[in-house]
Parts: sequence; structure tokens; C-alpha cells
Amino acid sequence: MAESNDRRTPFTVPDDMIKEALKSGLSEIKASDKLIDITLEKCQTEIEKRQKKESRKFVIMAYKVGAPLAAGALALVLIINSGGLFAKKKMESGMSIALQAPVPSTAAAQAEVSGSNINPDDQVANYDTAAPQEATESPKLLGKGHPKSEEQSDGLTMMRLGEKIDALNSLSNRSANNSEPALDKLDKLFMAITNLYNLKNGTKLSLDKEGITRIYTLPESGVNAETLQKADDYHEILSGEGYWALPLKNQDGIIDIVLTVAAIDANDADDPVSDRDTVYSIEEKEFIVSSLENGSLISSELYELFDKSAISGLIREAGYEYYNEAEMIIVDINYGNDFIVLTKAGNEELVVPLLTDESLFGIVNRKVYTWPEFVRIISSGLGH
Amino acid sequence: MIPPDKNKEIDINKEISRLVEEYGNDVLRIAMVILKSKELAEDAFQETFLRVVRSYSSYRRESSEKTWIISIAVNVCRDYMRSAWKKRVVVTDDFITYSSDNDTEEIIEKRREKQALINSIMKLPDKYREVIVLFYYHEMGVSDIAKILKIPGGTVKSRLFKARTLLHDMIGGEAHG
Repeated sequence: MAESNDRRTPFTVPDDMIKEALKSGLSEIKASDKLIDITLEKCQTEIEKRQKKESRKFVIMAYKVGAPLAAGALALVLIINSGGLFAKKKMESGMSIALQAPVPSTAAAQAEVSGSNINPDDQVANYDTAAPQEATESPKLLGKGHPKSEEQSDGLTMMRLGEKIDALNSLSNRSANNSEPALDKLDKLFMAITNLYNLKNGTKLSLDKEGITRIYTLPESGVNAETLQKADDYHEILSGEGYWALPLKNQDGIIDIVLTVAAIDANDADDPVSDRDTVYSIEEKEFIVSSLENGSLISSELYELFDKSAISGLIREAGYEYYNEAEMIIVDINYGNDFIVLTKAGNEELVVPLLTDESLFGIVNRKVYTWPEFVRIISSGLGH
Repeated sequence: MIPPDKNKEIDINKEISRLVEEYGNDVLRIAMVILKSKELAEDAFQETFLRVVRSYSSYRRESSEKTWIISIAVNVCRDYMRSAWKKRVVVTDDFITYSSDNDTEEIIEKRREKQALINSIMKLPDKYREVIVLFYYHEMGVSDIAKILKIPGGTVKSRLFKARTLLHDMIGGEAHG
């Protein structure tokens, strides 16, 4: 029940009169059966879609957790079958086989892609992927885009299971911000990438041009509590690099997947590429393209990421009418799962978290923090 | 209605049906007041419950179900208000007072007064309309309204006061009983 706010001054309308007018005026408005049916049908579709995605996530997690377990189990079997300590040589061999097992069939995947001779758009000069790698070199295969080693890869999964985070990290697929052409000049490139993605995956997704966003990244080594506390302002934690986030929409106009795009520096051209990334050669330049693991979740729950006016709304609602919109940047702080918006209002630096899991950081999603507040809260949650 | 037990397996489909049934009219009504268009309000109704589905697993029950759902509805409406799409929609007044042949002069006069007040409420700037409907129609407390609108409690109070002053000016003191 609302408390009384009726000050009974001669210049206002009494509470009970407003209440009565609204009650009688609005009581006639009712949701029709048709509207309810349509809504429930849409909700049902959304629930099914999310359940499918949840089960896919579970398979990925089982795969990541399962691989080391399988290796351990196989080693135990070999020890038991071959008489324990005398079987050292055999065990090493068994471990080698087990460690190869979790690596997806990279060569097969590469063949699937490079086998198709696609040229959907005149702008696309070539469509290629990195050379296949030996399965035993799996840690190197994870060199780009996603966490660099098996340890980090499992760490990403474990973070979602409630483990403590030691440092803030961004995806490693990135390119220098100052070498990027202006967004309007990238239009054709992004259209070509969308076409290629559709051809490769048999989809009919369309690029949401308005939603294309430059995501800034942290240094490759990550940002721990100490670095954060030593930084005089937020520019000091940025790497000067970033990637493009391309939201692709389905026929219902809902974002289905978010692709990340980064130009490959000539110096890094020979670096190995993760099996989850694809390299597109377009007009003699190479771009590494991947998708955000949490893309569908991000698009449904963090729609502000692709809508600058929505972010502006959050900042203005917090009382900062005159903040510097031109300086607004979005930073990846958790391998493409969680983000922060950085901007300035006068001399004050502001941070707005856009998180898929706010329990990880101890900060409130969409709340506007000053930079010192943000540093204090985040630092206390990060391992030293 | 018994709130769902967090520890038990929840049938999300049944839960959504229950929420639509229980809070659907509230969502539609607040959307009508904020957006001033039946067409937009019905779109906002659908979008609100889609967002309920998407955020159901993260709802921590720190606020009441009603506050949570109305909060989502307000955010949806605000998004619609910001979008260029809204500007292309013709806004109409869909608040009709229903009369009967048996109504006395006094009843008819009262109804006219209420209609005038409703029309004035609909003409208030967005930020005042939001607090008015949450406070007087949904009978929410200042702290809940502050959470929903993401503004300080003091701002809620000052907006309520300002809204009532504006209403008084708009109806020329006639409704002042």
C-alpha cells in the first residue's frame, strides 16, 4: 500500500480523486484473450530456444571438464592393467592419446570450410582458414581469440561455476584501434563477412548495421587488483586494441548471434588460430572472425551493448545530464561475456557495468559508478 | 497464489502463464498510460513477458513479483519512447468512460470530472505520468517507485508533488474538492 503523499495544499489535486479517476479509467483496459495467446506462444518459443541453448552450453562444459577426467581415467586404467609402477612408459603413451582426444577434428573442420569455393560477393577475394594443426599441439591451437591455454579455457568455464576471478581479461582476437579504418569504410567488409557466415552455416541472418560496436580490450596479460588500483584513470587499463562486435539478426528481427571481427596484423599472420575462429581473406587483408560464446544471452539481456541511446538513458537517469557521449567506450572485461561502459561527466569518470552474471564481480548491473567506486568494489573481489 | 519454491523444479511454462494471468492487465494498463497508444501498449505487453522469460532465472525475489514485472514493463516502455519507431505511431486517447441510461445527473457529472482528470494525467510530461500511475494506480511505495524508475526517493516525492500541482493547473481548480 502506498504511503500518503497528500500535502493538502490548495494548489494540488487530492490523492483520493486521482486514485479514483485512475482506478475507474484504467479498469476497462484488459488484455484480450488473443493478446494473451500470442504472448504465451512467443514466450513458449523463447523458452524452447533458451532450453536448447542451455543444453548446448552443458555439452560444452561437459566437454571441457570431461576431457581432463577422461585423461585421468585412461591413465588409471593403464596403471591397473599394466602392473602400476612398471608401466611408466605405457602410461605416458596413454596420456598422449587421451590428451589428443578432446581436440575437435580440426582438420575435418578446415576441410569442410576450405573445400567450398565460395564467392558470394564481388568484394570477397578469397575465403580461407588457417592451416590445419597437429592434434598434439592443441595448446598452440588456442592461440587466438579465446583463452590462450587449456588452463585458461577451463578457467573460463569454472568462472561461471562461481570460482574467484584473479584478473579482468578480454578476448585475444584484437587489432590496434588506431589502425582501424572508419566505421563507414568497413560497411562492405562487414556485409561480406555476414554473407560468408550465412553461407558457411546455412543461415539467413542479416547484419544490424546500427548495432555494430567497437569493443575495447584490456592488455593481453589481464588487469589484476594491483594494476587497477595503480591506474590514475581508466585509460591506463586499456590496451589500445579492440574488436568489432557485429550483431546478426534473424527473420524475426531478434539478434541471433554476435560475431567478433579483428584485422590480422601482418606480424601475427603466421600465428595459429583457434578451431573456433575463422580467417576470412578479403581484398588481400585477413580478418579473424569468431562468435561470442554468450552471444544470444548478451543480445537478449544486454541489448544496451548495441544501443548507445539506451546507455545514454542509463547515465542520464543516474543524474549525469551533461556527460561526454563522444568519449563513451565499451570494454570487454571477461572474455566477451561481461562488459563495462566508460565515459566522462565533467572531471568525473563513470563506469556502467553490462554483465551477463553480476554475481561474479560484486557490482550491480547497469548501475552508474564513479571510477574510484568501481575500482574499490572490483579490486576487493579480485585475487591479488 | 503461492510463490514458487526456489528449491523445487519449476515448470517455466506454467509460471509464465500464471504471471501473464496475474499481472497481464497491470502491465497493459501501465503501458497504456506511459505510451498513450493501444497498439504500442500491446507490443510492450508482449515484449515485457518475453523479457520476463529471459530474466526469470536471474530474478532473486528481492522485490515482489509485481514490482519486478512492472519494473520490466516500465523499462520496455522507456525503450519504446526512446525509439524513433514510436514517433511514427499516431498516439490516441483510448481511455473511454462508459455510461449507462440509468445514470443520474450527479453520476454523469462525476464521470465528466474523472474523465477530465484522466485526460489531464495523460497530458502530463512522461516523468510525471510514470510516478502518478505507479503511486496512485498500482499503490506502490516511494521506495519501490524509486527502484523501478532508478531515481532517488526524494525525486519521486517531488515529482508527485509537481504532478499534482500541474494537474490542478490543467483542470483549472474545478476538480478540487
